[in-house]
Amino acid sequence: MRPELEEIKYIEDYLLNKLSPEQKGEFEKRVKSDPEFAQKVKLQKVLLKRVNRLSLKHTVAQAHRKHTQRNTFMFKRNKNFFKSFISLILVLVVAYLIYLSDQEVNEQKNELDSLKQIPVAESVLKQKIDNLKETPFRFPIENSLGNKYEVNKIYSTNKSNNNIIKGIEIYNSSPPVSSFTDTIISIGHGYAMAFVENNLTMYYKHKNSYIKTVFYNCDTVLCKAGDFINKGQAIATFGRNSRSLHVEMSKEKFDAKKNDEVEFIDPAMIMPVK
Amino acid sequence: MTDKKLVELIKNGRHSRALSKLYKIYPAVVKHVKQSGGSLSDAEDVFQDAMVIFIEKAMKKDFELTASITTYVFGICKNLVFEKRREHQKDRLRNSSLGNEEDYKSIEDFLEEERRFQALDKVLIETGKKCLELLKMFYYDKLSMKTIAQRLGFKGETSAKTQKYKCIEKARNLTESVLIHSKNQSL
Repeated sequence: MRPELEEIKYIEDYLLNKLSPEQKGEFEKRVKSDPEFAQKVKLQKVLLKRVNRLSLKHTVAQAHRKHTQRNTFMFKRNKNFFKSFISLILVLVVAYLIYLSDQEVNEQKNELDSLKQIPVAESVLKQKIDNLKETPFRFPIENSLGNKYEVNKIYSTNKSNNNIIKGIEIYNSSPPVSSFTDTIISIGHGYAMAFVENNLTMYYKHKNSYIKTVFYNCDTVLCKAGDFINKGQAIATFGRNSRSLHVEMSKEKFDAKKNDEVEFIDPAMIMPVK
Repeated sequence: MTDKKLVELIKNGRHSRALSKLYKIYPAVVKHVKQSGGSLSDAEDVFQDAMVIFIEKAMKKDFELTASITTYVFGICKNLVFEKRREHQKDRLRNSSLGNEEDYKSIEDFLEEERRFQALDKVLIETGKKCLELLKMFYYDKLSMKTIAQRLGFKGETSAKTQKYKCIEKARNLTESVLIHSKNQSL
């Protein structure tokens, strides 16, 4: 060790009372005769004191944090327990009321509606769809009731802020009838992909591209996710909650790369709209 | 746990354990501080300072408990509240009814010291976190150099020891410069 460090060790030994009585006497003699050395001893003493004080403060602060955290946690837990207990009861009551009022409606509903609709992965559908025979698409409504439909385009903007057509709105413009439902019909051979929150997603193929089609505002779904659907087959109903059906289409080329942006297309480009 | 055992714990350096017991007094102190017009954060400061003062006092060889720890700590807290307010109001009158003269002095000393070394503490904490950790382990936690070397990843006991002396040297130089530059040059 360097002589400076040896000296530090010497002072430390004195401060920690590790010196023999003779060494101690020698040390104190030097302090008296050597002001520079005395100053060093003073500094080191202050330092040792501060290290101890800071360490103790650190320990106290830790204990404080632990104590206050535990207390707020217990307080919160009690409060939360009470809160969740009340909300649980409320939820149960509300659920029971809804159950009572909806029982009739539920009975009428299609069985399939109550089945869990677990979305099918796109990759799975892609494999299945490769073997499909391609037929021209048709209009998704079977006009058997003599209803009149208006078709409007839905506009949106893409990333580069250009106006694009994202889909169409099929609006039942015939005079309101007390209860009517329209049937949505599959526009081609394809697969049902998902039914989430009244929106049915179908998967089709068209000229070297996958066409994802979403029907918004459906009432009851008539197929299950993953089902193969023939062209013209009824897939869902609409009209109870909304008089307009939104159809959005997006295209993904067979050889598309992962990061390619989803490209919306105008349904009118690939299917007849009247 | 009896007061005597608690003091034993402190003397043996098991401060965390002792503190978890001492915090039973905390709610009463919060109440007192709030009643005398302080905030919760005032109470937090006062209690933490009181813990430092009490533990440092209890670690002294000649420490003798003359009252229960609760009374003792509460007395320190009361004096701290008073002292801090007096400091605030720059009122130099001493209230002799609060505790005995010696306790009073230790609180005054504590606050005075804290003020004086504020700048030094900052420098110590900011410039030498690793060193401070090493010094804390050696002086405060009283761990053996072997354990310290293992915990801090030194090659061996000798290199940890050398590092410790280097740390003291560095800190001493820092202390010197800080104390010379600050207004309080006396130690």
